[in-house]
Formats: sequence, C-alpha cells, structure tokens
Amino acid sequence: MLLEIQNLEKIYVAGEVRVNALKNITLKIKEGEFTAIAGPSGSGKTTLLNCIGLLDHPDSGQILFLGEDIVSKNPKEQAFLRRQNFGFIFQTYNLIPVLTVAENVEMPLRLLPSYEKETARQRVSEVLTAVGLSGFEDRKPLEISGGQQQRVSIARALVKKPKLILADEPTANLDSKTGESIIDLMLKINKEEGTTFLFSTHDTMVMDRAGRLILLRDGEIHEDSKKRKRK
Amino acid sequence: MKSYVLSLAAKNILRNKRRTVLTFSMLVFGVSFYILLSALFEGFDRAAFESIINFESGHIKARSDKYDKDFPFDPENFMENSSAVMESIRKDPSVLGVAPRILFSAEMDNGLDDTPVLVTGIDPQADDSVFGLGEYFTDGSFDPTGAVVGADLAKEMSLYPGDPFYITFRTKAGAYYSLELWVAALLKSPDPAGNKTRIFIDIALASNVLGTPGAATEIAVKTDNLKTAAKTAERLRKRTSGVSIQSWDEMSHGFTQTMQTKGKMSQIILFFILIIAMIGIVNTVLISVFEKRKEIGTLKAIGFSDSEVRNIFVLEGAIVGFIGSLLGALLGALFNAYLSTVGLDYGAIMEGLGDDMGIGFLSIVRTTWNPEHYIVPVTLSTLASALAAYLPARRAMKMDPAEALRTT
Ligand SMILES: Nc1ncnc2c1ncn2[C@@H]1O[C@H](COP(=O)(O)OP(=O)(O)OP(=O)(O)O)[C@@H](O)[C@H]1O
Ligand SMILES: [Mg+2]
Repeated sequence: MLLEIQNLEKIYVAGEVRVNALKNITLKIKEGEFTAIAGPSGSGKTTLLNCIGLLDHPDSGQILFLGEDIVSKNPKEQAFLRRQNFGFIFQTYNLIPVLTVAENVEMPLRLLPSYEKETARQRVSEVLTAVGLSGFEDRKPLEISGGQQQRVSIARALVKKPKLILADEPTANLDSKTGESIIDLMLKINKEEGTTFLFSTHDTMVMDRAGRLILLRDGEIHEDSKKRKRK
Repeated sequence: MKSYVLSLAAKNILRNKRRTVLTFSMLVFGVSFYILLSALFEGFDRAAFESIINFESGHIKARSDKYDKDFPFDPENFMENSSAVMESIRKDPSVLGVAPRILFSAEMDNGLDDTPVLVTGIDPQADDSVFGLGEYFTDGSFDPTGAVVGADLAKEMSLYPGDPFYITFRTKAGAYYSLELWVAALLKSPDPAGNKTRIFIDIALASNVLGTPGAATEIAVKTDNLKTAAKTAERLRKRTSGVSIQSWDEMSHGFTQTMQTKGKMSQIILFFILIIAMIGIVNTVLISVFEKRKEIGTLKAIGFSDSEVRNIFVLEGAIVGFIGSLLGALLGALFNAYLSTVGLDYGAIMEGLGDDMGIGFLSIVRTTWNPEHYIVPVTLSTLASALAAYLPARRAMKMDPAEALRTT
C-alpha cells in the first residue's frame, strides 16, 4: 500500500471560530491509482492534500507512506521525503518567474544527491517532450500561456519520477479544452510511468476521467467509488 | 546544492529593480564616500608628515638634554657644543645632511606696529642639506645681514623687500636686545603658519646677538632612509653626549594622535553607513519575503529544507551588500584616481571657514591608495548585509507552507 490514512483530523482555529476541516478521514491509496477528490468549496480537499504532502499538520490521525508514519517525522526528514517521493501540481502553477522553463523543471533534480548536470538536462528535455513543450526550454513562465505553464508544472512534478503526485485543482484556472488536455496528459503519465496521482477538482469532466472518486463533504468522506472506470 | 541556493538568490536580486537600485545606491554612495574620506584623511596625514619633516623636524633632531619642551624658545635650551655634536653626527654613514638651527621668539617692529614672531637662525647651505625651505624664498635671496620674512607676515606689517625693521628679544643673560634687520627675501611656503609668523636670519648673527656664539637650539639630521631613522637615531645617541636625539616618528606622538582621531572619525562614518545599509537590506529582504510567500511555499513543497529557504534570502541580502559595496569601491577608486593625481585644493575649500583641521600645512592634498580602505568596507558591508537579511530570512524559513500556498 502506497498511502494509508487513518482517522485524520484537522481543526483550524481562527480567533473564536473553530473549523473542523477534516473529520476522521480514513482511506488507502494503492500504487498506480488515479484518484480524484471532489466536493464543494470548503469541504477540505486542499487541507487533505496538504496534510498528505506534509505541507500542513493534522491534529490527530496517522498517515502511512509505504507503511511508515510520516506525520511524526521531523521537518528535515519531511523535506527530504518530499524531495524524494512527492510531486506537486498547483492550481496557480506556481512556477518561479525568474527561472526559465527548463530551470523550473530542473529544480527538483537539483535537490537530489544524485544530481548530475548532463543526465538532468536529458531528463528535463525528455519530460518537456512528454508534456509537449520541447522547444520552450528558454522561455520564462510569463512568456507562455496558462495551459503551457501548467504543463511545465506537471513536468516539474514528474521530472524526478516521484511515487506520488498531489495536484490541487490542476485544471481550475484553465478553459475546459485545455483542462481536458492536462488531465489526458496526467492519465498518460499514470499509464506509462505508473505514477500515482491524487488530485482535487470541481470539474465533472475531470472526475469522469478518474479511476476513483472520493467525495468530501464538510471534511468527511461522503462517497468513495472505485467502480467508475473510464478512459 | 550550496551553489544552487546561491544562484537562486542571485536571480532574485534582479526581481525588484527599483528597490534593489535604491539599496545599491545607498551602499554605493556610502562606501565611495567612506573610501574618499579615508583616502583624504590619509592624504592629509601624509602631506602633513612630509611638511613637518621637510620644514620642521628633519628625519632626526638633536637637542640639549636640558631642553624643556614647554619653553621651546628658552635660552636655557642652547647647545653650547653644537659643532662638536654635529661633527660626531656627520660620522654616521647614514647621515646625509646636518643643519644647526636657533629658535627664539621676538617682537617684530616696523616703526609703527609690533607683532610677535618666531625667529629661526639658519646656516643656509647646511639647512638646504636637510630641509626644503630654501626653495620657497622669493623676491630676493638669503643674506647674512638681513632676514627672510614670511610673506603673509610681511604683508601684515607692510614690509617690502629691502625695507628695514627691528626685532626685540631677550639675550641668554636676560637683557633686552634690539636688532636692526632688513627684508632680504620673502617666504612663500606651503606652511601657512610659517608664512604668517616666521622670520629667518643667519645663525652666526643670531648666536652672537643672543650671547651664545657657536650655539644651536637644535641640530636637524637628514638620513638616507626615512623609515630607518629611529635606528639611525639610536646609533647617534651612542656617538654623542649631553644631547637628546629623537627620530621624526619618536617626536610625532602628538601628531599620531590627531591621525588616530581622524581614523576614529572615518570608523564612525563607516558604522553609520553600515547601519543605513542594514536598514535598507532588512527592508528589501522583508518585502521580498512577503512578496514571495507563494514561492516560498512552492520551494518547500518541492523539497527545499527550511534552512535552504532561509539561506536563499540571507544570500540575497549578502549579494546586494557585496555588489553594492563593490560598486561603491569602484566608484571610490575612480574618484580617488583623480584626487590622488590631481589632488584636492583644500586651501580653496577651507578658506573663509578658518579651519585647518589641525594640519596647518599644505593647500593641495593628494589622496592615498590603501587597499584597506576598500577591503574593509566591502567585507563589512557584505557581512552586515547577510546579518541584516538573517531576521527576515528566518521569517521565510518559519513560514507555514500550507498558509503560504493559499496566498493569491
Ligand atoms: N488557515 C486557515 N484558517 C482557518 N480556516 C481555514 C484555513 N484554511 C482552510 N480553512 C477552512 O477549512 C475548511 C476547508 O478548507 P479547504 O481549503 O481545505 O477547502 P477546499 O475543499 O479546498 O475548498 P475550495 O474548493 O474552495 O478550494 C474551509 O472551511 C476553510 O475555510
Ligand atoms: Mg482548495
């Protein structure tokens, strides 16, 4: 099992207000799954993804990654885990504007102890080709379209071959056609490289492509359907 | 990895050009100002030293061992055995020139007015072998029956070359004596005090009228090497007796003190430059951290550790400090290249201000070249900038990534 989440709770306290963003979440994700998390705004999708990605700390519960509890690790070990095993895709792409497309994609490789310039360059050009952006290496993020930026961010998440890619509403800022091509790209990578994807979405078209759909409501799992199977 | 963090920091600097330019210009201005000031102070010191050595002290000076520095013109300070002392001094191989001088104070009288003057009895040939004074005699030449009068003094007393005047003084025996002299030449030296207060007469005449024939109040020595003058002085002490012998650096304690005061002044200026630079850097990096919250969240998601995130911002500050102060050093060097060759007309600037910063001599000052003036501010600016960036950088480090990523 790639990921096992047990009784996850997250409570935000803002002044007098306590928001129970995640309530008793328990779920398992197998390697190679392509899972969508859906639910109304404020249902806890981002919070759940952030907790799994170790960007946010749950108040209680466990997250096991490859059987190992990762919540209790210290920040340095967590950073190390992220750089080795997790890839992130954000709704707003979050590319570093001063770096070129190639430099943005190369970034996660630079953090690895195995970094070597020439192999890194080859891998970057390989993933940029995979996301259909070969030839865009030297552009700056602001010189390409939103859809292209999201492809760069997918390439960045993909470049180190992580075990798990977490994507928070990767298509929300894109028109439906571009959004569809992004999901198709993620599906292709999932099929070809076996990378596990866990992503949140509001878009029914995107939900339809998912191999599994988890529906959140008020911080709880309302529905978990593994049956849906579509191309 | 470290070089990667450095390159990321460097790329960030070009991000907000206006802010970076502002911090840069503060550093550039501050550091170049510091460099010029230090070079100028040192230029003053060097020129003043040269003047003193060239007109006043020589490399080494011998005086009577009864010499009382609180009463420098007291007749008790006369060396009766001056020719014997000079003979022994001349025997040292390092000695190039020996000049006896008699110094005493007198009242100068032109028939209408009188004014206090400092009279120096010199042996013109011997004097030229030690001092450079003779070069500044104008409108006539030295004459054993007359006097060379400071140009400003002559003007004040309405005396022109050829005019007679009197000086009145006490002899060694304590009696008042008036001596008639005439203006044989004027002194226009780079030493404004000398031009205002001094007259020069023949040493034989001076010692005779003072009642101490053949005596001198001081014997100035020129050696073959200014730097080893103290060693030469040490040898001369062994050769002579009844006299006290000091090299220029042993004599110039008081002067070294004014130098140190000026050194402190430039240190204080450097301190303020650093404070201002640090405030600029804190501000720059703080805004930079605030603006880049989302990027900070992204970097952490990608797997940058907290300390790596912090170092990006610390280095950003350090690079701004380094490049800014380096540009400042270059600008300072550029100005200094001009001021060290052409020089600064200090006299013209200070005229009317009535301030000579305790230097007294010279009017054109040439700045010096001292690597310390460049290395110190650049190093300190870089370190201070890194230090200043540290606090805001810690905020970046402590930033909660989930929170940071939620910012739009
Ligand atoms: N830092 C915070 N402080 C207080 N409350 C928060 C904070 N972050 C999230 N919340 C609350 O937690 C709940 C879950 O938020 P979350 O962002 O996970 O929802 P979401 O499903 O991602 O919503 P959306 O579809 O709008 O992105 C919401 O009620 C939100 O207001
Ligand atoms: Mg969300």
